[in-house]
Amino acid sequence: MDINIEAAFLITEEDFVSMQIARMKIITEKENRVILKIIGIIAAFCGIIAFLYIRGNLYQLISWLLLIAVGLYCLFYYDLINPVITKKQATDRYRFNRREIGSKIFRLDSVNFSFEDEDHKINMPVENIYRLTETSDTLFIFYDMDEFGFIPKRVLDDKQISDMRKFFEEKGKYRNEA
Amino acid sequence: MDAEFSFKSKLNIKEYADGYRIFDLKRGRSAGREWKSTVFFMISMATLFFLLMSGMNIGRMPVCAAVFLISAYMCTHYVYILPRKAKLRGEHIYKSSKMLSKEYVFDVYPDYFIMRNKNESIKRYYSDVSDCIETKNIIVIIGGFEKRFIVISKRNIEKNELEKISRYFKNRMVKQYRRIKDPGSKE
Repeated sequence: MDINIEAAFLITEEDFVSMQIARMKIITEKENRVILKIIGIIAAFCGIIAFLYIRGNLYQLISWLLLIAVGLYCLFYYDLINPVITKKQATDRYRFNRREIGSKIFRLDSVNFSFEDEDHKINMPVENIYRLTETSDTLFIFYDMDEFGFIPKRVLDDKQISDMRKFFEEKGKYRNEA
Repeated sequence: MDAEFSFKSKLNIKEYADGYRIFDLKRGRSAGREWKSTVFFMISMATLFFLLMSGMNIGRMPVCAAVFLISAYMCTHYVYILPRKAKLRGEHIYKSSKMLSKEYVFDVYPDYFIMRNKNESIKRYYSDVSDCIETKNIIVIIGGFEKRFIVISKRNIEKNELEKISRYFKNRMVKQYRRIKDPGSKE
């Protein structure tokens, strides 16, 4: 499939925060999320049953309430608590690194891929790309398991996003995390 | 402006994995493991004390027993499991990359250095560096928005050149520079 996309854009604070939240979801293994939710449900359930039916002395009542609190924390950690923490850290990081976060130029064709800004230029064959991961508002181009460049979806039109999706699907290097 | 000096670096898998582990312990997922493991150790000891006071009657204090087990596991996780996972992850990242095994040229300037080859070029100002950690085999430079850490292999650099590079980085990054014996020995 032939493809030819070029985009120049500035990364805003919203782009960076969305990217970091999406990245946290990508790098967190699904099994860990599921296991923590199961632990949370079990802990909260046991705590509620014990508080309502077993009760006991004041110390034990407090223990059951703590158990419920820990259960709820585990249950909602990845969906509610972690995004809030990540957003705060991402905002701080963006403001600290504002000088480095300038405009970027992204180019992709059937053979080569490049990502440029003032301090970092990468230009390599498309075959060397590890994977394209798509989330609800960001496209991640992974150079390896860890390093990546990202493009906010707002800078591309629907056809360009669709072309990128098909291009990397054909190469077996596409993942949807939306 | 001409570079003050230049040198080449080509990483092997062990060097990158060691560098990744240093980065992870300093600024990554394992960061702060000392105080986190200490907190969990103290919680596990406190709950063990309560259990012992109750004559190890787990039926009377099931929550205490559960907290003890979880705290003991988390302490072990931070002390032993995370550092080992970090090095393993570094090896996986190296194997997944077509770029990390390539040779890079480092051009060193008074305020920054440039790391380059035909596919990639990175300019890193010393003021953007949070840590410069040197071991027997590598130098790890942590900081920056793109490419959060850079690992330099000392393997193919002449001894007198190495001393010059160490001295230069130490002078340019006075607060950030540290020398440690081996990866993760002193974080």
